Amino acid sequence: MRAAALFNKIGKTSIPRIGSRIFPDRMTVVKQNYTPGSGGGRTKTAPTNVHTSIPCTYHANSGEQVLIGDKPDRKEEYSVSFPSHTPAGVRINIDPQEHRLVVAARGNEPQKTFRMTAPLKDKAGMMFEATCELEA
Amino acid sequence: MSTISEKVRKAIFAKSSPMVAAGRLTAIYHKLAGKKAVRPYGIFARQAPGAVKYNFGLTLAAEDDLWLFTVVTDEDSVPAGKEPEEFGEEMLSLWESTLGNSLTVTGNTVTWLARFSDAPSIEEKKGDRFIYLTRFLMRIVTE
Repeated sequence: MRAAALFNKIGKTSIPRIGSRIFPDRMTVVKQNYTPGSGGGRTKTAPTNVHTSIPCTYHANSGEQVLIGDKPDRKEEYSVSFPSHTPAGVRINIDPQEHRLVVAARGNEPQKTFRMTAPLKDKAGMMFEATCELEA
Repeated sequence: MSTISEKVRKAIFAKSSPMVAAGRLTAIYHKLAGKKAVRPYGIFARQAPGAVKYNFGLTLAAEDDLWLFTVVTDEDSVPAGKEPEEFGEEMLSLWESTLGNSLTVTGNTVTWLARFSDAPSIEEKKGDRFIYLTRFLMRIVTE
């Protein structure tokens, strides 16, 4: 029980505070919305911001050349790490199939949009690591 | 290697130019899109050619080919309110009517140009979204 309480405290309070100081980037979690189309498909509607100013950091994992849509394309896999809670103590609930991570521009680094390609890695409820593809 | 089909390829490309316009396709490519291609785009390529027909003395008489026409869309590249597969079908239909039933091929005559069949559409995954390839086969006979 003591360990559980400690982990909860670290996840909800300590890491969000530390993260806001040491993580160099800030991201917005954006939800892409859809509405049913008239032919059984779906159409895009305006996205909504689910969380803003989440401290985060990212790094590239791998990259490869691929052929998608009869087009020579690239696939760049990244990991994005961020606290499980906002600095205000609100849990960051992420749905990798609906949400995108938009990391704000920093210095010479442009804004980056990451699309999640795998379930979120939950590190004992304290940190999340998202496996993503960088939007070209 | 086919000299007639090369002429047909260029004729198709030239006649497809009205497809590249605002609200339509960004570009038309042969076989493979360019690295910087932006969806929605169109691709055409010669597929499963029929038997080459010869006159006496094995002089080339006609080529009877199937050409595959593909429109590539995704949810981010279609006009608001359109489903990507719906827009793909619309563009494919427009492409068919743009080509009509004739082509101008210098030194040869296109005797048949019409949609042969629809080809199964393909969905491919990129990141968390799908890329839709909507396609049909067109039969083109050139003498």
